[in-house]
Amino acid sequence: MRRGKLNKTSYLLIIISAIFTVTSYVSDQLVIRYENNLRTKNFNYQNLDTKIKSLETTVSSFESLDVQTMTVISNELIQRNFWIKNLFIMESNKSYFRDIRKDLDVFIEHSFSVDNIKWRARKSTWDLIDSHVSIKDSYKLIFNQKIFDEIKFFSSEEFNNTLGGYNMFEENQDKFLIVKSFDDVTDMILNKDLDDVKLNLWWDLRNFRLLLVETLYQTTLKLEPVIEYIENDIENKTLDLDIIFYERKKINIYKNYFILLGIISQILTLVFLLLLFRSLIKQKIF
Amino acid sequence: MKILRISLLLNLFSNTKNQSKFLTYINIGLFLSIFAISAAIITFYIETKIDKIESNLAEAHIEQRSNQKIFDSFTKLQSQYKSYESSTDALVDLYEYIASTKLGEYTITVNDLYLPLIFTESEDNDWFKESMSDGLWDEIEATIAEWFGNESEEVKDFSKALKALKKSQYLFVKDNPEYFEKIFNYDSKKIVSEIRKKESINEWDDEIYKDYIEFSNLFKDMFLLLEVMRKLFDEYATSWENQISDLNKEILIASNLETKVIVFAFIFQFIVFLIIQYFEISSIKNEKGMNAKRKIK
Repeated sequence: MRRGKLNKTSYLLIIISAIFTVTSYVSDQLVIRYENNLRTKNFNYQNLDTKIKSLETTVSSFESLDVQTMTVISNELIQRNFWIKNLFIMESNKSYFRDIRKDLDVFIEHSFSVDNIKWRARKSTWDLIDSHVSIKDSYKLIFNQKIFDEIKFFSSEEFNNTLGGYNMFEENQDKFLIVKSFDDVTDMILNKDLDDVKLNLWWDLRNFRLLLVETLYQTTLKLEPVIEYIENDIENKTLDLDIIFYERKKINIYKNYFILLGIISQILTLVFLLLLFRSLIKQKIF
Repeated sequence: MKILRISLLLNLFSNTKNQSKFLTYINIGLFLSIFAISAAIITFYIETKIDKIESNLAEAHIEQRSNQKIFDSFTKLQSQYKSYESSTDALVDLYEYIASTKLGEYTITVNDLYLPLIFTESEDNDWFKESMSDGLWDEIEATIAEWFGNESEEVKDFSKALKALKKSQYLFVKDNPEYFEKIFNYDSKKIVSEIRKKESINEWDDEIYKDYIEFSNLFKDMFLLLEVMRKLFDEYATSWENQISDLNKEILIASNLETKVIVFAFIFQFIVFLIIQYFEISSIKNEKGMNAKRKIK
């Protein structure tokens, strides 16, 4: 062989080195692409995870409020007739109530016990209104969540209006004897002297409380399909989260493969260059 | 400048005195490259293994979190049941005391006291109907039996409570518009007639009272079911914790193994390199000796 000329082995070694250089470059580019994909998937994963947590908090808030509402309803329903029956017996001028009073051996003329029942009835009515407002405000806060813009079959505004009972008196006038509006109720509770409140007005107060509880019960029932919708949404989003999790895992594995392929290609390029130099020295080509 | 450097390199290579030295350097380079390849392959193999373990670990953490969530919801539900039961019992006791008095006979009826409780308790009956119809409870019972064993206390408690629950399911199936009408009654005449009737609630033979007692027992059974399920999820939590700990150990072992295998590969390849280098130097020396003899001749 003449000095200065390359043989077949040398050409082969050069070509192999070139192939591994290209492979290394391609691998590096793929790693960059997978890294970008992974970044996007991580971003989507975090976003979805945050959304799921927020929805779970919404469902949990609904559940807590439901317990609170049912406790208010249950406690109010148990005592709904108790105090008014006492007032009927103590205050009514009807003959059969007089007979009952005789049977009970009570003759009441502005006694402390009757005043106490009246005072407590007014106070507990105020407490009930307070609980109702507090429940309504808590629901309002939940409805600020974005998910409620997506739910087409439910209007939070309508829910708030119904729960607020703004048309309660107009729509249920047949249930009241004297009271015409919420102002009449507040006036009776806050301003009127106990002695000036007649039995008819006490009956109206009893019906107002019952109507408030009924409104609370009927309105909150409308939330069942909403909660079901959110729970289904959580389920779907959790499935999506699982899919992203496995995609992330797959991308990570591919990324690692290409990192290694890049490293090995670079080393192999070096190996074949060394083998080339070795072959050149051995052939005494210089 | 580059051309000058390459020509310098070529000059160095063309110097025959330097050639054997360069061969040694190239051999060292080859040895290091082969070691780097083998180290990379070992790292890749073990890292892939660690990746799989880490992914199992991530899955285990997700399962553990979801398990913890269920466990927490059972605990929350149990405490809600307990607090609801105790406050209701106290209230019912108080009204029952009052109902025992002469005034109470006029002012408290079963419709006042027990009906609202039955009504609110049976309000959320859809989930119960669904769970009964799709055999969810039976599936849970089978899982509990599989986990704790057929003869365990947990299975006995669960089966007993489930049997009672199935027996009482008619309470949830009952339609409640009639109850609704009775509770949300705005007619004063009906209230007055209740007062005039003077029916004591302490006679214990009223249908509504019987239903109330059934509901109270049902609550106790539900509490027992939740207790057993809470135990099951507690066991699951321990099992996941053990699995997570085992996976962490596996990662540590694989990581240590990687270092050891790389060190071993280096020593092994270095010995092979030395042997090859020894034979190559010997062969060059032999070749030089033969050439010298040829020149003398």
